[in-house]
Amino acid sequence: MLTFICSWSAGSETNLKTTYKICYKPTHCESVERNVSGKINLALFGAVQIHITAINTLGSATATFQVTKKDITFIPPVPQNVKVVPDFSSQTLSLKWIGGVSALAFPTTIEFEIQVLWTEKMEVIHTESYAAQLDSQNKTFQWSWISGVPLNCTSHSVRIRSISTDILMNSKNGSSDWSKLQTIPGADDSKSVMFPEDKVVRVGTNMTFCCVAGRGQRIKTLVYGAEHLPCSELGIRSKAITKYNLPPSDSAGTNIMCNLDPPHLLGTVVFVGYPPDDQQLECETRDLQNIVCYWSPGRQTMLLREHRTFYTLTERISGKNASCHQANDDDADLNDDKYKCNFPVISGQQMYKFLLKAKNPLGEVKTNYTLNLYTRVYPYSPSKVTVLCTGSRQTKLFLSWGVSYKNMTCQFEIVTNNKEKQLRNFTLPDQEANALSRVAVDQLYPDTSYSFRTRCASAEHFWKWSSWSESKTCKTQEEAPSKALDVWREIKRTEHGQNVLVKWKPLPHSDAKGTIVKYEITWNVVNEVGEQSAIAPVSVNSTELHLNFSDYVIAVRAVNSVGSSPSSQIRILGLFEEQADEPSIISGMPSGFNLSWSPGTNETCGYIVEWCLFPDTLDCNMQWERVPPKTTHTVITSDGFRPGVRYSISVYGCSQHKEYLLKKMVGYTQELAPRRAVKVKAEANSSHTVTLRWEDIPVQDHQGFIRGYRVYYVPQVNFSARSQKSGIKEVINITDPDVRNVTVTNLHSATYEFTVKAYTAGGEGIGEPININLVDSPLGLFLAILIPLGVTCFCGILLGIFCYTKRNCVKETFYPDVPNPEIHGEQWSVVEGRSSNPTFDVKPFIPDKVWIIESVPGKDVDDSDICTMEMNNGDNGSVNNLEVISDSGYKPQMRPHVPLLDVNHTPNPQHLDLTEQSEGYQPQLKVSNWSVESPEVDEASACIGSPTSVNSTQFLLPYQASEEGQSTRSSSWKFSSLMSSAQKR
Amino acid sequence: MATGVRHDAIEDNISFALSDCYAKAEALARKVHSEAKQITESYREKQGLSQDLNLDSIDGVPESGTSKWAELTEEERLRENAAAFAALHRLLGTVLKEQQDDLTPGDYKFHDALLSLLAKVEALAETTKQLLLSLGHVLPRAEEEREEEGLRYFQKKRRGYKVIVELSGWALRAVRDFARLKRRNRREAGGKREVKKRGSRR
Repeated sequence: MLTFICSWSAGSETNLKTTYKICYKPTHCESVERNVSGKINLALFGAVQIHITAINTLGSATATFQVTKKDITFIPPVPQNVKVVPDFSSQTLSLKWIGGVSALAFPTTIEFEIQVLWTEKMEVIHTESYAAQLDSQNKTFQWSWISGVPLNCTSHSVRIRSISTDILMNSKNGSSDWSKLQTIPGADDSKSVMFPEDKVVRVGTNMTFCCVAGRGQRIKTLVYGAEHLPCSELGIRSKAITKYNLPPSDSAGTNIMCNLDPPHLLGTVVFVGYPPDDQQLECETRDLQNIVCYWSPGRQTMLLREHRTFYTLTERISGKNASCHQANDDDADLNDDKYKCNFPVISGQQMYKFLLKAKNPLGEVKTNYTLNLYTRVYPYSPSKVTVLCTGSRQTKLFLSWGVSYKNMTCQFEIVTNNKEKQLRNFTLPDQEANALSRVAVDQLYPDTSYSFRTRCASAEHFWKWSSWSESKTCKTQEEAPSKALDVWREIKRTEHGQNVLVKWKPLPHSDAKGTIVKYEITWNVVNEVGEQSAIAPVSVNSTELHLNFSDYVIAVRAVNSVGSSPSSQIRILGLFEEQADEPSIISGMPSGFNLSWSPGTNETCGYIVEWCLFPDTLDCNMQWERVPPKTTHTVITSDGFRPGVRYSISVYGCSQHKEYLLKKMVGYTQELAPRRAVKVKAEANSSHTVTLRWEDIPVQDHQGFIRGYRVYYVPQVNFSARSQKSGIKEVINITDPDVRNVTVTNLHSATYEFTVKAYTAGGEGIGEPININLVDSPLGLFLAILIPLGVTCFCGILLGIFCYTKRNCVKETFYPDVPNPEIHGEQWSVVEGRSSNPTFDVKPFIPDKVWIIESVPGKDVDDSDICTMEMNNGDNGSVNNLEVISDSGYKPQMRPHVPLLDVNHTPNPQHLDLTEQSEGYQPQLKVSNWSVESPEVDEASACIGSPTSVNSTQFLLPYQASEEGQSTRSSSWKFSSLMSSAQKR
Repeated sequence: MATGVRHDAIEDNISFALSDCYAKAEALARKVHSEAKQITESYREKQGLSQDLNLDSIDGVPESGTSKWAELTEEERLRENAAAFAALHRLLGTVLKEQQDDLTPGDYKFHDALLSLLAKVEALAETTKQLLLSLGHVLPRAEEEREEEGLRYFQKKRRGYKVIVELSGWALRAVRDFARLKRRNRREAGGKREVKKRGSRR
């Protein structure tokens, strides 16, 4: 049977007392006093009819409902015995409660909804659903939650309710009431505190820190290290900051500090690091008595001291622990050698299974390693190595170890004093501790220092080479030189005999097989008995023999402490003159010469190539090289070859009886431009031809094969100033290197600069310019002057004749008729009084003489009337000449010559009168009109700067100049007058 | 007469010994001050503490800042100094131990500096005690060793910082105190000799 709660609405309200009766079975009725809900108990398997009867004093009314299971909502019970247990260190809340419905005939699924709240603010900070099944039995449920905020920071409350989710039970979810709040109080207000305290957390986690102020205190700031983070309020006394993605802290941890008011400082420290990351565990034995296991610590945990990683290494077969003092010692240096544990070998046990546990506050890591003792032998290097050089090509080594090993495979590293390395393998049988093993080393070179070191590994199960032993050195003994010296000679014949310089090349160490102490030189005349000898010290590589003209055999041997080398012989033919063809030219490379020659007919023992490294010097430093038989080419190279130096190379053929000259060659490794200028002499054959002659350049200055010459010449404009050259530079290229002169033709009468430059494949050399002046004959000069003069005169005469015959036309063109002005005598006479022209400021003077030249009143004037007035100043008796050009037309600056004028001066009425008689355009009639327009006017010069005009100089030029101008004008008039008079005639 | 001369010689010797003791104490205090000042900075940096760290409310560390110092007699000052240096020596030992526990093994230089300072503070405490005895004063009562358990990391850091800061302060003031005592001792010895010279002339 289930209990159902039925509820209904009362319908229309009456003031009368109404009671209800609820009948859900025909026989089962219950009365409900003034309620609109009632409980019924029934087993609901099908539809049920429910009758609700409302009864009051006026009567009753019954309503009938039919309900099915679908219409009824299942409301699960409120969880019982709810208990919350906090774990402050892990910030975890654990919730326990009991749930169950005894009336349930079958289990039903429900959901517990759990809410966590900050009690002080009644703020829900977490809601979670917990799915479960309820049945008739009471069951205990458990749920836990880790808070992001330390639980001490503020009071936390938890409540829980049940929600039916079983679709078989009902169509809509019914939920129970919330359980009573279970509160976990935060820190009390007795003192100020910070949370969490001294936590160790993983890098990358998010963490909230809070500060809880005590009574009477207020939180001022809350900082993470030196970082100010957004602060959230958990309650009146509590504030929190959250640091996301925590970075690794340093060794002393990171401080979180809370400043309070009144001043007080709180703090907590957080250590941020990583869990252990130890890996690559490996175990081995070095002495078959102890097993050493070592590993890589992997990523640093960043946690130290009490938070550091602790190690335990357990051998699982025996169950024994290894000693890991060094790994667990916090004072040990943090190097890779720190991470190892030692485990003593257990007698009779060959297989070992190790388990390494590495643990710190943030986690634990385990690593396994299994080993067979004899497959992981890492031997020590030999504790003692002795070496004994017993012969010239072999030595003995003695090795021993402090511990015993089974069969070992070993390696020698042999290093010569030339740093050549060689590795040789050998095996050693079972080794007892401190027993000496002997190893013979052969195939060594005589008189060579060797350093030996060795390393070994287990022969049966190779695991690792030991480290190298210390190096031991010894030197093998000497042997007699094995190879004959390379000998050559330089012969200088004199009147009395032949001086033979016998030269040899020192034996390389590989052939000397010891330290050469001297050289033995012997010689004898061919086919004669009697041998002469000489000794040369080891410091020299040549000796000079003074021989007669006989044929000689000379032998040279190198001698060391053990013996002498095979004899090396050369033959000297006393009366034999070496002849060879003209040297052929060869081209070289910067490093040397690539030589080839035709095979010698008598050649039986190869060829000798000979050259001088310093051909310019007295001791030419003769070099030679032997070429094997049947080989007719070689490359000679030397660092001593220099560009621009001519090398002579001789090839000798070698036969049984003699060495004979086969071929001579000359060449340069690299051609350069000649280094000396060509000295030129010039000879002028005529004013247009010059012959240049020059001398040879010395061979040592050629620096290459001369391919030809270039002749440059250029005419000079100013011989003294060399820079002022002009004209085109001409060049003549002479491709024949034997030419020593050239004739330059088609030159002009001028100074020429000639330069001759030799050139090689390396370029053009320098030149010495030479100048030569080419001068014409006096007759030519005269002709050059007279002919143009004569032509000019002739043209002038022709022009004169032409102009005379066509004079009318010329006059019309250049001197047309000018209208005649009518000037009467009264008008022309100078009127007494002052001129109105203010500029015409002539000081009062009285002309005492006036001549009128060619000016008769009323008479026609052809061109212009010119009046020359001679005025005698009555005051001082000086005479002023005044020339007046009287023109009825344009008279722009018609002014008498006057001194510089004072513009303020009162105009002379006489002058005014004079100008008033003038007609036509008179732009400068009034000084006041133009003087002010002139820039920079001052009173003294106000008149200067008049408008520009053909006659403006009349004002600007001084008096004398004006006179000159007058005379010029006068002459021009005379010419026109002449023309006009000629016309009249 | 001979007894009088011997007595004068003994007095001179005592005065000389005292003067030497003052000079030694002054030199030691000067070194302690200088080293403590240097270590203060290293310590602060290593522990991630700010320069304006509030050091109030840290108990158990003798504080050098007091306005009443001028009111104290020389004997009281010596006794205060002796007590403070003894306490600071003990506390500095604790700081050193904490540093060994908490800092990296690479901080050997810092550890060595702390060890060196610890030795000097011990010597200074002992010298001050000897001076008190030489002057016939009563030694300060030995403070009971309090092992503070359960201090959090941050509290340890702050306390360590305060110990070094206060040590520097005490040492600085002790330099002045010992210098003053040394001068006074010289003056007194000189005065006595002058009086005796005059007396002998008469």
